[in-house]
Amino acid sequence: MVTKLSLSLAALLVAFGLGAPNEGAAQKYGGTLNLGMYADLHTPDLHRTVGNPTAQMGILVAESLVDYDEKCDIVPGLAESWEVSADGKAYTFLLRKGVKFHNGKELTAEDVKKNYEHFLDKKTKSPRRGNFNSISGIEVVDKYRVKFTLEAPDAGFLVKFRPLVAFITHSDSFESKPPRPIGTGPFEFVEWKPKQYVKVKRFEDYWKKDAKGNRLPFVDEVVLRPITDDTVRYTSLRTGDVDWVWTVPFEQLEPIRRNPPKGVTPSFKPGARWFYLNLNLSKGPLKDIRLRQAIAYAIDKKALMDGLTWGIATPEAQPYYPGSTWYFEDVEDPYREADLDKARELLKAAGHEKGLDLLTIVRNETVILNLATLAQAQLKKVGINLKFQVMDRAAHRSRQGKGEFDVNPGHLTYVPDPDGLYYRFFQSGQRNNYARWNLPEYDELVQKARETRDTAQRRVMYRKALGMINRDLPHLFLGHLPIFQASRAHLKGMKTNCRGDIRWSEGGVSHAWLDK
Amino acid sequence: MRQYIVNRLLILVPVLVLVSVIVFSLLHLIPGDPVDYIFAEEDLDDPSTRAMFEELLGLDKPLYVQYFAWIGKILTGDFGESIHYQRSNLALIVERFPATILLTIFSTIVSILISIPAGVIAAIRRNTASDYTAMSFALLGISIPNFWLGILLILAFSLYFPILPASGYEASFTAPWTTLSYLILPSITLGTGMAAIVARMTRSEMLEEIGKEYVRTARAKGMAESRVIFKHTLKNALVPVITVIGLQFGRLLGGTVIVEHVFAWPGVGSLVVGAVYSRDYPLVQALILIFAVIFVAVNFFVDILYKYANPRITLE
Repeated sequence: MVTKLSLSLAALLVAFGLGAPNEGAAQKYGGTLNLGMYADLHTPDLHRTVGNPTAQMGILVAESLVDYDEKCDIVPGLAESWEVSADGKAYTFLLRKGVKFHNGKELTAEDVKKNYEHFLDKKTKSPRRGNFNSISGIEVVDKYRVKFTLEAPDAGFLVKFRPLVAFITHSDSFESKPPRPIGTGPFEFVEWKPKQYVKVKRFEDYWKKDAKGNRLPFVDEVVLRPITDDTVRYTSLRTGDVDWVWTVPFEQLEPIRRNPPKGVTPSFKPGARWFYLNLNLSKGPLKDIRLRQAIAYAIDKKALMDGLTWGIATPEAQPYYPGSTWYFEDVEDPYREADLDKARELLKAAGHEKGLDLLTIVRNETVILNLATLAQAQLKKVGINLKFQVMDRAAHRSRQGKGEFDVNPGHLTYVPDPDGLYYRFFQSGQRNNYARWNLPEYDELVQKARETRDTAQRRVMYRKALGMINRDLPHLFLGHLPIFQASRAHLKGMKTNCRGDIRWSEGGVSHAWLDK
Repeated sequence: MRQYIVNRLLILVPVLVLVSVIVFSLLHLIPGDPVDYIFAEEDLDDPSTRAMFEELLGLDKPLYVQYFAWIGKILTGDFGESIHYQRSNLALIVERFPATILLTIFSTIVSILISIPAGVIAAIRRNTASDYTAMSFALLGISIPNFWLGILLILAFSLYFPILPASGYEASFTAPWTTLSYLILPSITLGTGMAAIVARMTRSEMLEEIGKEYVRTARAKGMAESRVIFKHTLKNALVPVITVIGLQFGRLLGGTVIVEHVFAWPGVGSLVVGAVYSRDYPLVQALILIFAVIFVAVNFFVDILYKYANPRITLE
């Protein structure tokens, strides 16, 4: 089954020419690249960002100390290297020399210090503040060296400096009204017309070059247009109004696969987003593990993923996607295929052979509504009734945080370090541990992993931690959603990373060019 | 007339007070607050940052204190700052209104151009093929969902006969054609739905008027049929029709979420929905207050139109 699945995925990837479909021709400079995004920014102020659309604009304009590579692992960004003290409590970053801000000033350690002080300053009102409050001191060692000290060792600390979140901008832009970010990125911010577009233009003094030594970026101007409707966004690509779209509606996948429209190049790659059912362990019937197992047995993951994404998502029993550093090849999934008899037996043993009603909180987002509806249909076969309460994001967040649910279906995207995932979502007492799972043995293991820096050792620990999650089922992993994007044939070299980001260390908009 | 205007303005006061109380209470009654919305992004959730925001936004104070603090600001003309956009609410609203007004006016024109002739024809040729055709189209217009018609129009006129842009917005006096090219599809989408309702209204009002004695007298005098219909009957039939158009106009000014969504139109509709969704209390409150004022103003304007349509009506 596993082999068959991976074969069909491989066939798909070949069919879509995964990898570098656009290599070969010589790069050209110039032109305007129009991107069809799924939502608008809420502010161009990069120290007050919430949500992905703002962050995507941000990574064109500004960079961070570290960057993502194609697999979304952390690689050097504005810092060319870093050292961690023996006790794991001090991180010293060595900055690249000669990196310029869009105002012509050179990036120095002093700028980095100012940025984090600004993030932490209450007056900034940064929602990101919490990301950095484990920092106990920031020290400028010399012009290009800056040292961060922590209260406690934290192997996942580097992740806090990641792109999309910890943008380094020049202090001149901190309080500009209206906000106008000055970064070191490949593009300079030009203007934002809310709900219409955000425009950025090439930064002539950008420090990075591509593998062939060409100066970057290639295009003169990038326009990000928020087109919220999936169908209209894809139609805009077909009409040529935009050159690239963030995602294509699932239902369009099959027609594109069979017969790509003229001038449209689809691209398809494994993606980091995963679907899950969160099960509440703190109250209600699901305190009984037999009922959680019954749910797991009653769910047919393959059918669920197929139904939800028209056959593109793959069933999994872990959060990281195949190909990621934190993916485990050896995870066996007893729940991969449905076993209704076992589910009924477990229900009977738990005294619920006549049926079981479970309060399910559903965020009113199409994909989650669909996920919940499919799960509901599957669970009904064994007499488990998911009683829906549909609500918007803020209400859902409130209910989820208070643990007012039995079942909570959802999806999450890539968490760049396993600490951010295994610790934040499953450690007892953590705010994101919505299932309110409490296993001292797990807590101890993950705490130890947090204090360990060796990747191989950490892998062993997290593998064990994953085993505990899959055994106790506070969270039922369902599957991963591949990334499916499409561009006009004249757009070359546009490749996104595992999160679908429009710029990463060696690719994206900064490396794309227009062949027309 | 002056007394009438003064009365109208006086009515506005209790309306606004009532609206402000209702909006404020409803918003705070629904579960989830702005901080929940911000912290729906998992890795942001942090108790100290949460506390910081609650304090900054005054959410840690009792509701009545929050209400009076807000009203106090409004009375000094300060509509506050949006939590989500971190900008002045008034600036945000002013930025979005031109797109909404433009779309409202054009959709209304489209709907009037379709509905009045259709309604009149259906009435004067009652129970004939023209009547059935016009009314069938009217029924279709009411029944077809906006988003579906919008997408269909985009496919037809942007993809298969590429003469208009699929989505977007531009307003420029120097490039009227570009402005219009973006306006056509959303205006038709909105206008047809509205036309359907107005056409049915026109037909029934016309039928009622046509049966009246003054129409028979006019015809008996030998007056041209077109004059009977347009000069006398239609004008008298228009009063309730104007009411409907006025109400629809007011409703459109409040934004049209679905059409804005389909055509990526930067109107106030998506601003309202987004604001409610993100529990942006100050922005929702500012928007609703402004809508209330606009609605009252549109109704006032409609009353003046009544007087024009039927001089027997006096405004006192």
